[in-house]
Amino acid sequence: MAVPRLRLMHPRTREKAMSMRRPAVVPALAVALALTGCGIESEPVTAPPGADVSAAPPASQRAAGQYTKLNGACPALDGDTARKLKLPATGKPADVNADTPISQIVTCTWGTGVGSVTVLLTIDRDTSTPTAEQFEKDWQASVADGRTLSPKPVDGVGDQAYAGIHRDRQSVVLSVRSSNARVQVSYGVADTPRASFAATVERNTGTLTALAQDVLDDLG
Amino acid sequence: MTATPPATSSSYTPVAIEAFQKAVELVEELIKKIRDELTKLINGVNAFMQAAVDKVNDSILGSVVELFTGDIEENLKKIKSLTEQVRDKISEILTKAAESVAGAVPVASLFSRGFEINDQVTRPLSGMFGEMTGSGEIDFWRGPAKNTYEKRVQDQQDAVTNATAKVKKLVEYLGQAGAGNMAYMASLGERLGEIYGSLVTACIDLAETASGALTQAIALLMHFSEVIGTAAGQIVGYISQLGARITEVLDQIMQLEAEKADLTGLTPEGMWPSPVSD
Repeated sequence: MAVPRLRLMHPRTREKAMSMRRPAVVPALAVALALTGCGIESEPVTAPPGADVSAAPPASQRAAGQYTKLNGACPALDGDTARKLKLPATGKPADVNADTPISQIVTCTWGTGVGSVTVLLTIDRDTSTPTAEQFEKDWQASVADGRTLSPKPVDGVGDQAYAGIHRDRQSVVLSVRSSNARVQVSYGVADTPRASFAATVERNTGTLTALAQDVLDDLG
Repeated sequence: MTATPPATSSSYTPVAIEAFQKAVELVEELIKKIRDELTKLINGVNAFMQAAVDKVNDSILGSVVELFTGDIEENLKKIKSLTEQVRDKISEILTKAAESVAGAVPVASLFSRGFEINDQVTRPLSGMFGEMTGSGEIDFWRGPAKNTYEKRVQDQQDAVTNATAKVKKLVEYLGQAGAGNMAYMASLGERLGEIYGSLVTACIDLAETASGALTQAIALLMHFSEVIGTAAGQIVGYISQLGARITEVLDQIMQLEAEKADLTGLTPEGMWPSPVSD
Protein backbone atom coordinates (compact mmCIF):
# COMPACT_ATOMS: atom_id res chain seq x y z
CA MET A 1 0.00 0.00 0.00
CA ALA A 2 1.67 3.23 -1.12
CA VAL A 3 1.27 5.92 1.48
CA PRO A 4 3.22 9.07 2.01
CA ARG A 5 5.95 8.52 4.57
CA LEU A 6 6.37 11.35 7.03
CA ARG A 7 8.72 10.41 9.80
CA LEU A 8 9.08 12.45 12.93
CA MET A 9 12.52 13.03 14.23
CA HIS A 10 13.80 11.06 17.16
CA PRO A 11 13.04 13.00 20.37
CA ARG A 12 16.70 13.45 21.19
CA THR A 13 17.39 14.78 17.72
CA ARG A 14 14.38 17.02 17.95
CA GLU A 15 15.44 18.15 21.37
CA LYS A 16 18.85 19.04 20.05
CA ALA A 17 17.43 20.75 17.01
CA MET A 18 14.91 22.70 19.03
CA SER A 19 17.47 23.77 21.57
CA MET A 20 19.54 25.14 18.74
CA ARG A 21 16.64 26.92 17.07
CA ARG A 22 14.52 28.14 19.98
CA PRO A 23 16.80 28.60 22.95
CA ALA A 24 14.51 31.08 24.66
CA VAL A 25 10.96 29.76 24.04
CA VAL A 26 11.31 26.02 24.63
CA PRO A 27 12.58 26.03 28.20
CA ALA A 28 9.72 28.28 29.21
CA LEU A 29 7.07 25.98 27.67
CA ALA A 30 8.75 22.90 29.05
CA VAL A 31 8.67 24.31 32.50
CA ALA A 32 4.99 25.19 32.06
CA LEU A 33 4.10 21.62 30.97
CA ALA A 34 6.15 20.10 33.72
CA LEU A 35 4.45 22.27 36.29
CA THR A 36 0.93 21.50 35.13
CA GLY A 37 1.81 17.77 34.92
CA CYS A 38 -0.27 17.32 31.79
CA GLY A 39 0.42 14.18 29.69
CA ILE A 40 -1.16 12.76 26.56
CA GLU A 41 -3.28 9.64 26.82
CA SER A 42 -4.33 7.13 24.20
CA GLU A 43 -7.71 5.44 24.35
CA PRO A 44 -7.39 1.94 22.82
CA VAL A 45 -9.69 0.61 20.12
CA THR A 46 -11.78 -2.31 21.37
CA ALA A 47 -11.61 -5.65 19.57
CA PRO A 48 -14.56 -6.78 17.40
CA PRO A 49 -17.10 -9.11 19.02
CA GLY A 50 -16.10 -12.76 18.96
CA ALA A 51 -12.43 -11.98 18.38
CA ASP A 52 -9.73 -14.14 19.86
CA VAL A 53 -7.32 -11.62 21.32
CA SER A 54 -4.45 -14.07 21.07
CA ALA A 55 -2.18 -13.68 18.08
CA ALA A 56 -2.76 -15.47 14.77
CA PRO A 57 -1.20 -18.95 14.55
CA PRO A 58 2.50 -18.90 13.72
CA ALA A 59 3.52 -19.68 10.17
CA SER A 60 4.91 -23.10 11.14
CA GLN A 61 1.38 -24.37 11.91
CA ARG A 62 0.03 -23.36 8.54
CA ALA A 63 -0.29 -25.59 5.53
CA ALA A 64 2.67 -25.30 3.21
CA GLY A 65 3.78 -27.30 0.25
CA GLN A 66 5.48 -27.31 -3.08
CA TYR A 67 2.58 -25.93 -5.14
CA THR A 68 1.36 -22.35 -5.30
CA LYS A 69 -0.92 -22.22 -8.34
CA LEU A 70 -2.38 -23.88 -11.40
CA ASN A 71 -0.83 -22.74 -14.66
CA GLY A 72 -3.79 -21.62 -16.79
CA ALA A 73 -7.54 -21.56 -16.24
CA CYS A 74 -7.80 -25.36 -16.55
CA PRO A 75 -5.16 -28.06 -16.47
CA ALA A 76 -4.01 -29.34 -19.87
CA LEU A 77 -4.89 -33.02 -20.20
CA ASP A 78 -2.23 -33.71 -22.78
CA GLY A 79 -0.64 -37.03 -21.85
CA ASP A 80 -0.81 -40.16 -24.02
CA THR A 81 -3.86 -41.48 -22.18
CA ALA A 82 -5.74 -38.20 -22.53
CA ARG A 83 -4.96 -38.08 -26.25
CA LYS A 84 -6.33 -41.60 -26.71
CA LEU A 85 -9.56 -40.54 -25.00
CA LYS A 86 -9.99 -37.81 -27.66
CA LEU A 87 -11.09 -35.26 -25.10
CA PRO A 88 -11.84 -31.66 -26.14
CA ALA A 89 -8.58 -29.75 -26.44
CA THR A 90 -9.37 -27.42 -23.56
CA GLY A 91 -11.39 -27.84 -20.41
CA LYS A 92 -14.35 -25.70 -19.55
CA PRO A 93 -13.83 -23.88 -16.24
CA ALA A 94 -16.81 -23.80 -13.91
CA ASP A 95 -18.13 -20.51 -12.56
CA VAL A 96 -17.42 -21.72 -9.05
CA ASN A 97 -13.67 -21.26 -9.12
CA ALA A 98 -11.93 -19.18 -6.46
CA ASP A 99 -8.38 -17.91 -6.18
CA THR A 100 -7.56 -16.52 -2.73
CA PRO A 101 -4.55 -16.19 -0.40
CA ILE A 102 -5.93 -19.18 1.53
CA SER A 103 -6.44 -21.61 -1.33
CA GLN A 104 -7.18 -21.97 -5.02
CA ILE A 105 -10.20 -24.03 -6.10
CA VAL A 106 -10.62 -24.99 -9.76
CA THR A 107 -13.28 -27.16 -11.40
CA CYS A 108 -13.07 -27.95 -15.13
CA THR A 109 -14.97 -30.32 -17.41
CA TRP A 110 -14.16 -31.96 -20.73
CA GLY A 111 -17.19 -33.23 -22.64
CA THR A 112 -20.40 -34.75 -21.25
CA GLY A 113 -21.68 -38.24 -20.53
CA VAL A 114 -19.64 -41.38 -21.16
CA GLY A 115 -15.98 -40.51 -21.75
CA SER A 116 -16.26 -37.07 -20.16
CA VAL A 117 -13.81 -35.86 -17.53
CA THR A 118 -14.28 -33.52 -14.59
CA VAL A 119 -11.39 -32.28 -12.46
CA LEU A 120 -11.65 -30.59 -9.09
CA LEU A 121 -8.34 -29.15 -7.93
CA THR A 122 -7.57 -27.53 -4.59
CA ILE A 123 -4.22 -25.97 -3.75
CA ASP A 124 -3.85 -25.14 -0.05
CA ARG A 125 -1.79 -22.01 0.42
CA ASP A 126 -2.42 -20.97 3.98
CA THR A 127 -5.07 -23.24 5.47
CA SER A 128 -5.32 -24.10 9.17
CA THR A 129 -5.78 -27.83 8.58
CA PRO A 130 -2.83 -29.68 7.01
CA THR A 131 -3.63 -30.89 3.49
CA ALA A 132 -2.97 -34.58 4.28
CA GLU A 133 -5.38 -34.46 7.23
CA GLN A 134 -8.10 -32.71 5.22
CA PHE A 135 -7.65 -35.11 2.29
CA GLU A 136 -8.09 -38.18 4.47
CA LYS A 137 -11.08 -36.62 6.24
CA ASP A 138 -12.81 -35.73 2.94
CA TRP A 139 -12.25 -39.17 1.47
CA GLN A 140 -13.53 -41.02 4.54
CA ALA A 141 -16.60 -38.74 4.61
CA SER A 142 -17.38 -39.42 0.95
CA VAL A 143 -17.28 -43.18 1.64
CA ALA A 144 -19.25 -42.92 4.88
CA ASP A 145 -22.11 -40.89 3.37
CA GLY A 146 -22.38 -43.12 0.31
CA ARG A 147 -21.06 -40.67 -2.30
CA THR A 148 -18.25 -43.07 -3.19
CA LEU A 149 -18.84 -46.79 -3.59
CA SER A 150 -16.38 -49.67 -3.87
CA PRO A 151 -13.42 -47.60 -2.60
CA LYS A 152 -9.83 -48.77 -2.87
CA PRO A 153 -6.38 -47.27 -2.28
CA VAL A 154 -4.30 -46.56 -5.38
CA ASP A 155 -0.50 -46.46 -5.73
CA GLY A 156 1.69 -44.72 -8.26
CA VAL A 157 0.34 -41.20 -8.24
CA GLY A 158 0.85 -38.40 -5.71
CA ASP A 159 1.46 -39.05 -2.01
CA GLN A 160 -1.95 -40.63 -1.33
CA ALA A 161 -4.72 -41.77 -3.67
CA TYR A 162 -8.06 -43.56 -3.58
CA ALA A 163 -10.47 -44.64 -6.33
CA GLY A 164 -14.13 -45.66 -6.36
CA ILE A 165 -17.47 -45.45 -8.16
CA HIS A 166 -19.52 -42.31 -7.75
CA ARG A 167 -23.02 -42.93 -6.49
CA ASP A 168 -24.49 -41.81 -9.83
CA ARG A 169 -22.97 -45.14 -11.06
CA GLN A 170 -21.96 -43.34 -14.24
CA SER A 171 -18.54 -42.13 -13.22
CA VAL A 172 -15.41 -43.52 -11.62
CA VAL A 173 -13.51 -41.15 -9.36
CA LEU A 174 -9.93 -40.84 -8.20
CA SER A 175 -8.84 -38.60 -5.33
CA VAL A 176 -5.14 -37.79 -5.17
CA ARG A 177 -3.08 -35.72 -2.77
CA SER A 178 0.35 -34.49 -3.74
CA SER A 179 2.04 -32.20 -1.21
CA ASN A 180 -0.45 -29.35 -0.64
CA ALA A 181 -2.59 -30.12 -3.72
CA ARG A 182 -5.72 -32.26 -3.85
CA VAL A 183 -7.00 -33.49 -7.20
CA GLN A 184 -10.28 -35.26 -7.81
CA VAL A 185 -10.77 -36.72 -11.27
CA SER A 186 -14.10 -38.09 -12.44
CA TYR A 187 -14.40 -40.12 -15.65
CA GLY A 188 -17.79 -40.84 -17.24
CA VAL A 189 -18.60 -44.52 -17.84
CA ALA A 190 -21.69 -46.46 -18.94
CA ASP A 191 -24.33 -47.04 -16.26
CA THR A 192 -22.72 -49.62 -14.00
CA PRO A 193 -24.61 -52.45 -12.30
CA ARG A 194 -23.74 -53.01 -8.65
CA ALA A 195 -22.03 -56.34 -9.39
CA SER A 196 -19.55 -54.60 -11.71
CA PHE A 197 -18.48 -51.74 -9.41
CA ALA A 198 -15.12 -53.21 -8.37
CA ALA A 199 -14.25 -54.36 -11.91
CA THR A 200 -15.16 -50.96 -13.36
CA VAL A 201 -12.96 -49.19 -10.84
CA GLU A 202 -10.12 -51.59 -11.55
CA ARG A 203 -10.47 -51.22 -15.32
CA ASN A 204 -10.39 -47.42 -15.22
CA THR A 205 -7.78 -46.81 -12.52
CA GLY A 206 -4.96 -46.49 -15.06
CA THR A 207 -6.87 -43.87 -17.04
CA LEU A 208 -7.68 -41.91 -13.90
CA THR A 209 -4.11 -41.92 -12.57
CA ALA A 210 -2.77 -40.76 -15.96
CA LEU A 211 -5.26 -37.87 -16.03
CA ALA A 212 -4.44 -36.93 -12.42
CA GLN A 213 -0.74 -36.91 -13.31
CA ASP A 214 -1.48 -34.51 -16.19
CA VAL A 215 -3.14 -32.18 -13.68
CA LEU A 216 -0.21 -32.38 -11.24
CA ASP A 217 2.21 -31.65 -14.09
CA ASP A 218 0.48 -28.31 -14.61
CA LEU A 219 0.94 -27.03 -11.06
CA GLY A 220 3.52 -24.37 -10.41
CA MET B 1 -36.63 -52.37 -24.75
CA THR B 2 -33.71 -51.78 -22.35
CA ALA B 3 -33.96 -49.40 -19.40
CA THR B 4 -32.70 -45.91 -20.13
CA PRO B 5 -30.14 -44.71 -17.58
CA PRO B 6 -31.26 -41.57 -15.81
CA ALA B 7 -29.90 -38.40 -17.33
CA THR B 8 -27.64 -36.37 -15.11
CA SER B 9 -28.35 -32.67 -15.14
CA SER B 10 -25.62 -30.71 -16.86
CA SER B 11 -25.90 -28.17 -14.02
CA TYR B 12 -23.91 -30.35 -11.72
CA THR B 13 -21.13 -32.83 -11.99
CA PRO B 14 -20.02 -35.80 -9.90
CA VAL B 15 -17.68 -33.46 -8.03
CA ALA B 16 -20.34 -30.78 -7.42
CA ILE B 17 -20.88 -31.61 -3.77
CA GLU B 18 -17.15 -31.63 -3.07
CA ALA B 19 -16.64 -28.33 -4.94
CA PHE B 20 -19.45 -26.73 -2.98
CA GLN B 21 -18.09 -28.01 0.34
CA LYS B 22 -14.67 -26.64 -0.50
CA ALA B 23 -16.15 -23.23 -1.28
CA VAL B 24 -17.97 -23.26 2.07
CA GLU B 25 -14.81 -24.35 3.91
CA LEU B 26 -12.90 -21.56 2.17
CA VAL B 27 -15.41 -18.93 3.34
CA GLU B 28 -15.37 -20.38 6.88
CA GLU B 29 -11.60 -20.27 6.99
CA LEU B 30 -11.49 -16.73 5.63
CA ILE B 31 -13.99 -15.55 8.24
CA LYS B 32 -11.70 -16.90 10.96
CA LYS B 33 -8.54 -15.51 9.38
CA ILE B 34 -10.02 -12.08 8.73
CA ARG B 35 -11.18 -11.91 12.34
CA ASP B 36 -7.68 -12.88 13.56
CA GLU B 37 -6.02 -10.39 11.24
CA LEU B 38 -8.44 -7.61 12.24
CA THR B 39 -7.62 -8.27 15.89
CA LYS B 40 -3.95 -8.15 14.98
CA LEU B 41 -4.44 -4.81 13.24
CA ILE B 42 -6.35 -3.38 16.20
CA ASN B 43 -3.70 -4.61 18.63
CA GLY B 44 -1.08 -3.09 16.33
CA VAL B 45 -2.88 0.26 16.18
CA ASN B 46 -3.29 0.33 19.97
CA ALA B 47 0.38 -0.50 20.48
CA PHE B 48 1.31 2.12 17.90
CA MET B 49 -0.75 4.83 19.61
CA GLN B 50 0.58 3.88 23.04
CA ALA B 51 4.16 3.97 21.79
CA ALA B 52 3.58 7.39 20.28
CA VAL B 53 2.07 8.66 23.52
CA ASP B 54 4.87 7.18 25.61
CA LYS B 55 7.44 8.74 23.36
CA VAL B 56 5.89 12.16 23.61
CA ASN B 57 5.25 11.92 27.34
CA ASP B 58 8.78 10.70 27.95
CA SER B 59 10.13 13.84 26.43
CA ILE B 60 8.82 17.17 27.53
CA LEU B 61 10.54 18.73 24.58
CA GLY B 62 8.87 16.17 22.31
CA SER B 63 5.53 17.42 23.58
CA VAL B 64 6.55 20.89 22.77
CA VAL B 65 7.52 19.92 19.26
CA GLU B 66 4.10 18.27 18.81
CA LEU B 67 2.43 21.43 20.01
CA PHE B 68 4.17 23.26 17.22
CA THR B 69 3.80 20.63 14.52
CA GLY B 70 0.23 19.46 15.08
CA ASP B 71 -2.26 18.40 17.61
CA ILE B 72 -1.19 14.96 18.74
CA GLU B 73 -4.41 14.23 20.58
CA GLU B 74 -6.41 15.16 17.51
CA ASN B 75 -4.29 12.77 15.45
CA LEU B 76 -4.73 9.97 17.96
CA LYS B 77 -8.50 10.48 17.87
CA LYS B 78 -8.41 10.36 14.11
CA ILE B 79 -6.47 7.07 14.16
CA LYS B 80 -8.89 5.60 16.68
CA SER B 81 -11.90 6.71 14.68
CA LEU B 82 -10.52 5.30 11.41
CA THR B 83 -9.68 1.99 13.06
CA GLU B 84 -13.16 1.76 14.54
CA GLN B 85 -14.66 2.42 11.12
CA VAL B 86 -12.58 -0.39 9.65
CA ARG B 87 -13.49 -2.69 12.55
CA ASP B 88 -17.22 -2.03 12.15
CA LYS B 89 -17.19 -2.47 8.37
CA ILE B 90 -15.28 -5.74 8.58
CA SER B 91 -17.50 -6.97 11.43
CA GLU B 92 -20.54 -6.35 9.24
CA ILE B 93 -18.96 -8.30 6.39
CA LEU B 94 -18.09 -11.20 8.69
CA THR B 95 -21.62 -11.32 10.08
CA LYS B 96 -23.08 -11.47 6.57
CA ALA B 97 -20.57 -14.10 5.45
CA ALA B 98 -21.33 -16.25 8.51
CA GLU B 99 -25.04 -16.03 7.65
CA SER B 100 -24.24 -17.28 4.15
CA VAL B 101 -22.33 -20.26 5.55
CA ALA B 102 -25.23 -21.04 7.89
CA GLY B 103 -27.55 -21.06 4.88
CA ALA B 104 -25.25 -23.34 2.91
CA VAL B 105 -26.40 -26.59 4.53
CA PRO B 106 -29.73 -26.78 2.68
CA VAL B 107 -27.92 -25.95 -0.54
CA ALA B 108 -25.61 -28.93 -0.13
CA SER B 109 -28.66 -31.09 0.47
CA LEU B 110 -30.12 -29.94 -2.88
CA PHE B 111 -27.29 -31.71 -4.68
CA SER B 112 -27.55 -34.69 -2.43
CA ARG B 113 -31.29 -34.94 -2.95
CA GLY B 114 -30.79 -34.73 -6.72
CA PHE B 115 -28.46 -37.72 -6.70
CA GLU B 116 -30.75 -39.65 -4.39
CA ILE B 117 -33.78 -39.06 -6.61
CA ASN B 118 -31.82 -40.14 -9.65
CA ASP B 119 -30.72 -43.32 -7.96
CA GLN B 120 -33.84 -44.24 -6.02
CA VAL B 121 -36.63 -42.93 -8.27
CA THR B 122 -35.55 -42.20 -11.84
CA ARG B 123 -33.51 -45.35 -12.26
CA PRO B 124 -36.23 -47.89 -11.23
CA LEU B 125 -38.94 -45.75 -12.84
CA SER B 126 -37.25 -45.64 -16.22
CA GLY B 127 -36.47 -49.35 -15.86
CA MET B 128 -40.19 -50.12 -15.53
CA PHE B 129 -40.75 -49.18 -19.16
CA GLY B 130 -38.89 -52.23 -20.41
CA GLU B 131 -40.73 -54.51 -17.99
CA MET B 132 -44.13 -53.46 -19.34
CA THR B 133 -43.98 -55.24 -22.65
CA GLY B 134 -46.40 -58.10 -23.23
CA SER B 135 -45.30 -61.54 -22.20
CA GLY B 136 -46.49 -65.11 -22.75
CA GLU B 137 -48.27 -66.29 -25.85
CA ILE B 138 -49.55 -62.82 -26.69
CA ASP B 139 -48.79 -63.16 -30.40
CA PHE B 140 -51.61 -65.73 -30.65
CA TRP B 141 -54.15 -63.32 -29.18
CA ARG B 142 -56.68 -61.87 -31.52
CA GLY B 143 -59.65 -59.54 -31.21
CA PRO B 144 -60.80 -56.82 -28.77
CA ALA B 145 -59.13 -58.33 -25.68
CA LYS B 146 -55.73 -58.11 -27.30
CA ASN B 147 -56.40 -54.58 -28.57
CA THR B 148 -57.46 -53.46 -25.10
CA TYR B 149 -54.43 -55.11 -23.49
CA GLU B 150 -52.02 -53.50 -25.92
CA LYS B 151 -53.62 -50.11 -25.44
CA ARG B 152 -53.33 -50.38 -21.66
CA VAL B 153 -49.70 -51.43 -21.93
CA GLN B 154 -49.04 -48.44 -24.13
CA ASP B 155 -50.89 -46.17 -21.67
CA GLN B 156 -48.76 -47.43 -18.82
CA GLN B 157 -45.56 -47.05 -20.79
CA ASP B 158 -46.53 -43.50 -21.69
CA ALA B 159 -47.26 -42.82 -18.04
CA VAL B 160 -43.82 -44.08 -17.05
CA THR B 161 -42.19 -41.94 -19.72
CA ASN B 162 -44.14 -38.94 -18.50
CA ALA B 163 -43.38 -39.56 -14.84
CA THR B 164 -39.70 -40.11 -15.63
CA ALA B 165 -39.57 -36.80 -17.46
CA LYS B 166 -41.13 -35.06 -14.48
CA VAL B 167 -38.64 -36.54 -12.04
CA LYS B 168 -35.75 -35.70 -14.35
CA LYS B 169 -36.97 -32.13 -14.44
CA LEU B 170 -37.09 -32.11 -10.67
CA VAL B 171 -33.50 -33.31 -10.49
CA GLU B 172 -32.49 -30.67 -12.99
CA TYR B 173 -34.09 -27.94 -10.89
CA LEU B 174 -32.28 -29.15 -7.82
CA GLY B 175 -28.99 -29.20 -9.69
CA GLN B 176 -29.44 -25.70 -11.10
CA ALA B 177 -30.42 -24.28 -7.74
CA GLY B 178 -27.42 -25.95 -6.10
CA ALA B 179 -25.00 -24.84 -8.83
CA GLY B 180 -26.19 -21.22 -8.59
CA ASN B 181 -25.56 -21.16 -4.89
CA MET B 182 -22.21 -22.85 -5.34
CA ALA B 183 -21.10 -20.07 -7.70
CA TYR B 184 -22.29 -17.53 -5.17
CA MET B 185 -20.29 -19.15 -2.35
CA ALA B 186 -17.10 -19.32 -4.45
CA SER B 187 -17.42 -15.64 -5.41
CA LEU B 188 -17.95 -14.71 -1.79
CA GLY B 189 -14.75 -16.59 -0.98
CA GLU B 190 -12.86 -14.61 -3.63
CA ARG B 191 -14.08 -11.30 -2.24
CA LEU B 192 -13.28 -12.24 1.33
CA GLY B 193 -9.84 -13.28 0.09
CA GLU B 194 -9.29 -9.74 -1.22
CA ILE B 195 -10.21 -8.27 2.17
CA TYR B 196 -7.92 -10.70 3.93
CA GLY B 197 -5.06 -9.71 1.59
CA SER B 198 -5.70 -6.00 2.28
CA LEU B 199 -5.70 -6.61 6.04
CA VAL B 200 -2.42 -8.49 5.93
CA THR B 201 -0.86 -5.64 3.92
CA ALA B 202 -2.22 -3.03 6.34
CA CYS B 203 -0.74 -4.92 9.32
CA ILE B 204 2.65 -5.06 7.60
CA ASP B 205 2.52 -1.37 6.66
CA LEU B 206 1.59 -0.41 10.20
CA ALA B 207 4.42 -2.50 11.64
CA GLU B 208 6.81 -0.69 9.33
CA THR B 209 5.54 2.73 10.32
CA ALA B 210 7.77 4.62 12.74
CA SER B 211 6.18 4.79 16.18
CA GLY B 212 5.92 8.56 16.17
CA ALA B 213 4.73 8.99 12.61
CA LEU B 214 1.12 9.75 13.37
CA THR B 215 0.33 11.45 10.10
CA GLN B 216 1.76 8.49 8.22
CA ALA B 217 -0.43 6.11 10.24
CA ILE B 218 -3.45 8.26 9.51
CA ALA B 219 -2.73 8.22 5.77
CA LEU B 220 -2.31 4.46 5.92
CA LEU B 221 -5.54 3.90 7.83
CA MET B 222 -7.49 6.34 5.64
CA HIS B 223 -6.40 4.47 2.55
CA PHE B 224 -7.19 1.13 4.18
CA SER B 225 -10.58 2.37 5.38
CA GLU B 226 -11.43 3.37 1.79
CA VAL B 227 -10.40 -0.05 0.49
CA ILE B 228 -12.44 -1.84 3.14
CA GLY B 229 -15.35 0.55 2.67
CA THR B 230 -15.50 -0.26 -1.04
CA ALA B 231 -15.15 -3.99 -0.38
CA ALA B 232 -17.80 -3.83 2.34
CA GLY B 233 -20.20 -2.10 -0.02
CA GLN B 234 -19.59 -4.74 -2.67
CA ILE B 235 -19.91 -7.66 -0.28
CA VAL B 236 -22.99 -6.40 1.49
CA GLY B 237 -24.57 -5.75 -1.92
CA TYR B 238 -23.45 -9.14 -3.08
CA ILE B 239 -24.75 -10.86 0.02
CA SER B 240 -28.08 -9.14 -0.43
CA GLN B 241 -28.23 -11.07 -3.70
CA LEU B 242 -28.35 -14.16 -1.56
CA GLY B 243 -31.84 -13.14 -0.54
CA ALA B 244 -32.79 -12.91 -4.22
CA ARG B 245 -31.09 -16.24 -4.80
CA ILE B 246 -33.02 -17.92 -2.01
CA THR B 247 -36.24 -16.49 -3.43
CA GLU B 248 -35.28 -17.94 -6.79
CA VAL B 249 -34.66 -21.34 -5.24
CA LEU B 250 -38.01 -21.18 -3.45
CA ASP B 251 -39.67 -20.31 -6.75
CA GLN B 252 -38.03 -23.32 -8.32
CA ILE B 253 -39.23 -25.51 -5.51
CA MET B 254 -42.74 -24.14 -5.99
CA GLN B 255 -42.45 -25.02 -9.67
CA LEU B 256 -41.42 -28.50 -8.64
CA GLU B 257 -44.47 -28.81 -6.48
CA ALA B 258 -46.60 -27.70 -9.41
CA GLU B 259 -44.81 -30.21 -11.60
CA LYS B 260 -45.43 -32.99 -9.11
CA ALA B 261 -49.09 -32.10 -8.86
CA ASP B 262 -49.47 -31.94 -12.61
CA LEU B 263 -50.73 -35.39 -13.56
CA THR B 264 -51.24 -34.57 -17.20
CA GLY B 265 -50.11 -37.44 -19.35
CA LEU B 266 -51.13 -40.14 -16.93
CA THR B 267 -54.85 -40.54 -17.71
CA PRO B 268 -57.55 -37.96 -18.49
CA GLU B 269 -58.50 -38.17 -14.80
CA GLY B 270 -54.90 -37.73 -13.74
CA MET B 271 -54.73 -41.31 -12.47
CA TRP B 272 -52.24 -44.03 -13.19
CA PRO B 273 -53.61 -46.14 -16.09
CA SER B 274 -55.48 -49.19 -14.83
CA PRO B 275 -54.30 -52.67 -15.73
CA VAL B 276 -56.51 -54.82 -17.96
CA SER B 277 -57.98 -56.78 -15.07
CA ASP B 278 -59.70 -53.70 -13.58
